[in-house]
Amino acid sequence: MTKRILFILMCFTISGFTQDIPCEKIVDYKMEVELNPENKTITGAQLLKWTNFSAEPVQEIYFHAYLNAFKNTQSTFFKETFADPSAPLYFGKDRFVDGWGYLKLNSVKASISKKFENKDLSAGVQYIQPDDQNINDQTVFKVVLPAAVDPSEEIIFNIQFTSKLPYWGYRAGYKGNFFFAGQWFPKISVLENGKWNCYQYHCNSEFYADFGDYDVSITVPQDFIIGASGVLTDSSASAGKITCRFVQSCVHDFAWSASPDFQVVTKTFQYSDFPPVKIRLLYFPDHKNYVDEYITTIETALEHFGLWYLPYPYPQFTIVDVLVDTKTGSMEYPTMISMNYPWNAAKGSKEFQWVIIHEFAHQYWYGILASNEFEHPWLDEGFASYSDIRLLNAVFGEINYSKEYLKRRNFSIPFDFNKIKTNPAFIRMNNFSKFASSDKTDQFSWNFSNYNSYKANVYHKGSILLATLENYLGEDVFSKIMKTYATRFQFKHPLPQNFIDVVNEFSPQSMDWFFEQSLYTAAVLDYTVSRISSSQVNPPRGLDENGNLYSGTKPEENKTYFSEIVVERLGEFIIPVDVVITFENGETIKEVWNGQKKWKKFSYQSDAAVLKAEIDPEQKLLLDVNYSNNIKYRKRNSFPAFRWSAKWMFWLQHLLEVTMVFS
Amino acid sequence: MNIKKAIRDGLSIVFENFKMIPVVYIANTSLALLLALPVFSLLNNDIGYKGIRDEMTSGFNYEWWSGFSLNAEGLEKTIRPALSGGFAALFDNFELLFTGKFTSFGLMIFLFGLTYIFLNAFFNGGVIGLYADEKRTFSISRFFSLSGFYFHHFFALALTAVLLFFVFYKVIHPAIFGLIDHFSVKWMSEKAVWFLNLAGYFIIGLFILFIKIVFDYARIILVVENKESSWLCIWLAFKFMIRHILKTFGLYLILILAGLGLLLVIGFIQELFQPKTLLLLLLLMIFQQVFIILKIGLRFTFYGSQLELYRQYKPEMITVKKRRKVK
Ligand SMILES: [Zn+2]
Repeated sequence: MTKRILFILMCFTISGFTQDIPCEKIVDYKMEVELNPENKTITGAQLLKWTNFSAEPVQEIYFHAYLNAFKNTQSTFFKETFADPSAPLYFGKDRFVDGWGYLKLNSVKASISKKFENKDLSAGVQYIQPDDQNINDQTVFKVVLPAAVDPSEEIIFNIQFTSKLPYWGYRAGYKGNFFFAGQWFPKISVLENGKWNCYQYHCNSEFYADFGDYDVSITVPQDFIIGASGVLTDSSASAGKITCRFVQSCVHDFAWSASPDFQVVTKTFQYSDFPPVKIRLLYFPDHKNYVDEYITTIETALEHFGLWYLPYPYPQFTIVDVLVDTKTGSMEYPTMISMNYPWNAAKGSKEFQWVIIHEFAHQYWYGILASNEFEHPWLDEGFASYSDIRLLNAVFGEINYSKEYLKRRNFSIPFDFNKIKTNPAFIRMNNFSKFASSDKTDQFSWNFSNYNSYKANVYHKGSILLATLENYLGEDVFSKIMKTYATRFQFKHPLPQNFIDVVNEFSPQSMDWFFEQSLYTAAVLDYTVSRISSSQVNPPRGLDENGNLYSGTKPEENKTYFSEIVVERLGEFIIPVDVVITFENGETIKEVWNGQKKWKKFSYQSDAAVLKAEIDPEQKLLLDVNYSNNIKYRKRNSFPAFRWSAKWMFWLQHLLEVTMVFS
Repeated sequence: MNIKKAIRDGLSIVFENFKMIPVVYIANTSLALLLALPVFSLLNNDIGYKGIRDEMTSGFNYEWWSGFSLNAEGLEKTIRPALSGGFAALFDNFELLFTGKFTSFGLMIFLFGLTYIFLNAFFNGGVIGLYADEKRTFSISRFFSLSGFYFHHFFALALTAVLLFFVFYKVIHPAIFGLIDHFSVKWMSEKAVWFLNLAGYFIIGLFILFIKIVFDYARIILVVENKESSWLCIWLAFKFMIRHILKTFGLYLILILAGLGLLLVIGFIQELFQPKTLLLLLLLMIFQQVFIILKIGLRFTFYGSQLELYRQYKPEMITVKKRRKVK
């Protein structure tokens, strides 16, 4: 017994790694696990020290057992996935043959100093469903203690568990000798204001956990290479196996991956007075062509996000380049990401850089700030998506449209359209626009009407509402806002109001009206020029004051035009907007419309007819769901339509000839 | 030597009867125009007044399109970035052959394609009928009367081909890729799986070629041998093709190469030529129409050369012996 306590004490003193990271440590995990490649299982022991930082004693402790989402089709994850036609099918029916995933608790023991020691609580483990009462869902369990954990008191759990990885699982799984362990161990929930903030594993949701120290020793066959959260501190080999110990403090999760096929590249990033970061890339031989791009993209992101937000505080960052046809996906974990990218994808779309940057950006909003992704998913996904378009625009420039020919499972021939360029923000904007009125942005992640709307309103709208705000307040002000928010709320799990407060701190006027519309309603922003006309003003006819007929000038001699422009607000979202009117003589008039009324008419009398009217000519309001109706000419020009219908006709003529294969 | 001679002779009969090319060209263009007009009007209404028309004059506005495509219906769905490139729209057409997703451009386009197939079943009677005729004197009335004369047979052949292809895309196509997925499901190498899929598409291509060649010779045999049963002709064509597999495939492949050459030329012209003025656009349209005319001419060269190749192996059939009584 004493020996065990000593071992526990030893385990809880992680030295070295990043002790200067300023986080409140609530959890302290020490795990020793072994991968069995034959059974696709991870078995091991977890020693978890948890401190009750609340003001109330706690007698029930809530845990996540997320791998049980893959236990059967009765789980909430599967039920939600199958019920939503727009959700990606994480498991192809024909492929999911020999592997459901689960987390099995072999024993749960706990100790509280002077209250009980190493007491077996296995019998008191109870699976609960706080979100949907689906009694078949086992992704959350609670442990009832024989005595409460008092405020500031510590409890130490000793949990023996077996994690069975699913075949081709979502975020966790295996294929052949490739293994990916995400959301794989029993993980304590977050106690907030005396209540457990604990949710089941949903189709559309990510995660939330407390910060602390992780010290994980992983045993695998000797030829395997492991990539994991944290830093590899030591390894030892014996009897054909190798044990690697990964350690990291101030993180809130731990993921790892292993395969004998991995190749490894490392490089140390150094910039200015930033702490150095070791970049460690694990990739499959098929992806050798991406090695340089991986490293340089991460270096670029480390530099820019370091300058814009705060220097990356951890000593290492690991990229695990996963097998493409598994469903591991591109995903963020503390100090690690998985990247799922086909070997022959189109270059011009810059999607490769885009995805890496996106996942790396999560290191800030998910990893370091760590907002609750269940309750406010946009605080992570929206900010990560904003960060990716900001960095793409700043460094990588416009992207090409690209298309994949002959696309099917594991195959496509990509084709870049070098002449069709766009801004990544516009892609997010368009992807958002279709679902603009489906859901408000700030809400629980599984309450969105469907997966498409979740993506559109969390990722895309989340990002473009920030970009719109940036354009509205100006780059300088917004940069300060982002930097202040990131530094002030690092390791603090900020809420939306924390961000709004920072915005209001720097903005010349309160921006509450903006957030009320953009976050808490599904109000659509759409301005349009609905009418534009000019008519020549005729000289007066009839009798003048003296009773004589107006002699007047001839209309041609002194031309005057009366022009009217009607701008309209098609949606409910109200925001001030610039309106620029250009006349045929090149003159322009700039107006500002507050957008309060449904429409506004601008009238002018001038010596030239109006040429065009533009609402928001600089396209600052990225939330506008249809920008193409913002600029209207008075006269029609049919050439573009003729040009494109001629191209179209040639395409059809050719298609008709192609059908001759069948005649 | 045989192939070379067949092509030479084939070309010469195409030239001697070149006047039938405009007839088919007019049919092609009229059908295309029938749909191009509504496309023009919908585009004109959408972008005629809009600010993005400036960009659509010289390039393609992706942002407008991706909004436009979200709610696109019917023909609107066929307006897409691929139209902007030199090759992409043409690749789209060939892609259909390999994927079998013929309704991906909408029902209207599908029906127009079908119409063109059966319309050409009619024309092909005239084309092959005249090519097989020793007098080889072209006249519109002779062309149409031969088209009419062979129509019921050629229609039956076209119908059989379409049904056969339908079965091919519904049964054999998925079976090939089903097998590929079955074999490669546990492969760890992404590239290996990719190349296996590529091989799958190659096999699909061979199948299509195979069926196509059989039906080409079936039509030739029907006319040359004066057969009454189209089914018998398919069988005879099949036997002929297998017996002379190198020649029949070789001839076809050489002509396909010629087609690819044409495609490269028009593709590059379109790629380099992004007309910003009406005059330049009209010039490009002339190039495009010349391409379509050449493409039809090339198709007729296929028929002519295959006819000549068939004749080389059937010397006794220099011309149709017992010419049917045709005006
Ligand atoms: Zn993300």
